[in-house]
Amino acid sequence: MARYSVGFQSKTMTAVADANAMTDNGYATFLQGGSATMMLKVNEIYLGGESAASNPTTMAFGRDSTVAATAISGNFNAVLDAVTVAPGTVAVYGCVSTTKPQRSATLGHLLQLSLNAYGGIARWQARYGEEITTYGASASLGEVSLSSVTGTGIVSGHVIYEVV
Amino acid sequence: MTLLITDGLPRGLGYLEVDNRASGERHFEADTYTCTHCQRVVVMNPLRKRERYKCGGCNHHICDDCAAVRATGAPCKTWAQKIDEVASQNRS
Repeated sequence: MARYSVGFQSKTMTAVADANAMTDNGYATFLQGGSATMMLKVNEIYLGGESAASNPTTMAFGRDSTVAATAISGNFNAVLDAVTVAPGTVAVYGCVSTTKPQRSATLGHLLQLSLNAYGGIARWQARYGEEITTYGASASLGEVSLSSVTGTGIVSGHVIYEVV
Repeated sequence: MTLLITDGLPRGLGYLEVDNRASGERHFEADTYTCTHCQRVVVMNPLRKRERYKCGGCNHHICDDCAAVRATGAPCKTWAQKIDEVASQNRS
């Protein structure tokens, strides 16, 4: 199936604790299945820091116990293969919503990507067959997000995933 | 000739890079694997001496938390099996 990259640019992180509502544009992105049966497989995450001074930022990628809903917008999503025919249903992504995502206290830390946002980078690539998966579009299997636990660095980056 | 690898370490790994050299700090690279039971990404500490637990049920390395649960006698249950259960509930 088709592989996509969801990108985000120059986002100033707002630190958020587990099980607390994220702030619009204050986290990198969420990624949610486009239907109750859609599976997504995340195989790469990249973060590049753009802060003008030292700003250690602890980013967490993991599942959300409350999923984003209503008036969703923000970020970019592009198919990677130029000749891919877009499926009828695509994943939902963004950094703005009426119902804000909340990082799960138990499943919300699948991957820690800490970096100093003063020019630092953090990149993770999955081993083939060991991608992080989501299933459906509801908590807690249906959405993952990338957000700051501590630190307010400015970051850009992408999450590469496949719609299965 | 057949080569047998007997060190028990996972192979064909994922990759984590954290490069903070622009801020005068370190460049860190490490292999990773994903726990088949909970899908946490395990960053492999090259200084670790303790063995990494390989689940006999799914024949895959799992994280320390899941290894502790497994050691109490809990059965092997992979994340894929959990998703299959949710999917079958959705179908019924």
